[in-house]
Amino acid sequence: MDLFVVRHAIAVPAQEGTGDESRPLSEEGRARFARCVRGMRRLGLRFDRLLHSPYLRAVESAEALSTLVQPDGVTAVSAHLAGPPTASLLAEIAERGERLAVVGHEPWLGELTAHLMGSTGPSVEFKKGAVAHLRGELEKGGMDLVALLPPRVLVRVAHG
Amino acid sequence: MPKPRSKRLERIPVGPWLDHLERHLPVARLGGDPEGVHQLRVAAQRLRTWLKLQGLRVLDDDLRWLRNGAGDVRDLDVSMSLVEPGPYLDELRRRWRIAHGDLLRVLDAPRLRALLEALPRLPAARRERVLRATRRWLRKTRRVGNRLDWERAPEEELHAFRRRVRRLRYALDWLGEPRKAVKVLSEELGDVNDLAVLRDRLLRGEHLAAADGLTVEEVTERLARSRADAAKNWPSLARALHKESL
Repeated sequence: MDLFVVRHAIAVPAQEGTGDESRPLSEEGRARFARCVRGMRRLGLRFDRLLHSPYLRAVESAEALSTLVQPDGVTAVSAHLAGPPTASLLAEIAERGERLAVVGHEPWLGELTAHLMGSTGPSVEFKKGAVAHLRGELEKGGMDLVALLPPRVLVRVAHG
Repeated sequence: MPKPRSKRLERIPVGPWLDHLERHLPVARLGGDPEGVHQLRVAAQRLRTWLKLQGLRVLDDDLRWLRNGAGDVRDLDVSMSLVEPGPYLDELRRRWRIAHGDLLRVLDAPRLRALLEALPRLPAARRERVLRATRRWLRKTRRVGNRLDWERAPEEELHAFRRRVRRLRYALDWLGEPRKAVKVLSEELGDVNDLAVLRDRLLRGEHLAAADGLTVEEVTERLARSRADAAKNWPSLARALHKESL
């Protein structure tokens, strides 16, 4: 399996009266992530499936990323991506095809990645908009890091 | 049923039909009233239209999953309303209990909870964008209707057109600008579809109370007449769609 772990793009700061889960992407975050997605496209990244957290910033990031989902691919919202990784999340990932992107939040994506790579501590620094490409079996220590693509790299690739 | 939104709103929120969906979830769960499942499916389809009007892809597959998850129960509710009492009705009831069990698994799924959390967080749709998309759909509906061979086209083609018209009707409702011609067209296509379904059920040997003693041949003839009527009415409906432009 190829698993692409994506942290959501830059969101507006928390504001009084608005819950954390309802923070939208900032204009800067939206524009920058659009460039990141262009970079991913130039690198040939494509997904069979896209799974994302229900938080607004993840939904909006997933929407931008959905252009890389194959025409017959599927997107799905997952409550399990809005919390620490669990067996239920792994079960959900497992049923979703061979090239899957998941869009979520730190520190949970870091915990997920560390578990799959068999690391004892955080193994990947996930900046907002970053992508970690893992490959292998979906089990503890079963995956290797193929590439870590921080946003500045993706933006450079996008500009050619 | 949520009322059409005011024309003056610059933004079109998802709220009314999301509320409608959530109100019917417990009714669908209980299973005693077919309206629960029916309205759940109607609301899901209207919400899909709201997403499509904005060109949004995420959450559409989730709404389709929800709608499809209730599909078997809906089909059986409709079947049970048509069939005469007897062993076949008992068999449909047995199948309904299985389908309802499957629906309960959908209603209990974390995916539904996540969907209901995500939808209200989406910003309200910009009216201008919805208007542009609806105009495109209106033009396309006229073009497809003009190319359709109303009397001879395969039923699947008519059914696809019916889905297109339904989507257009929902779009106009979101804008708060329902169009009589679209409603009439939608009802005509609905009648054609109902006759086709009735004919298929009779061909399968079902004993249908709703068939009122009609034979397959009689229903087939009615279906042909219904299609001929739709063909005759289409030009004036197309003109009305053109005149009632947004």
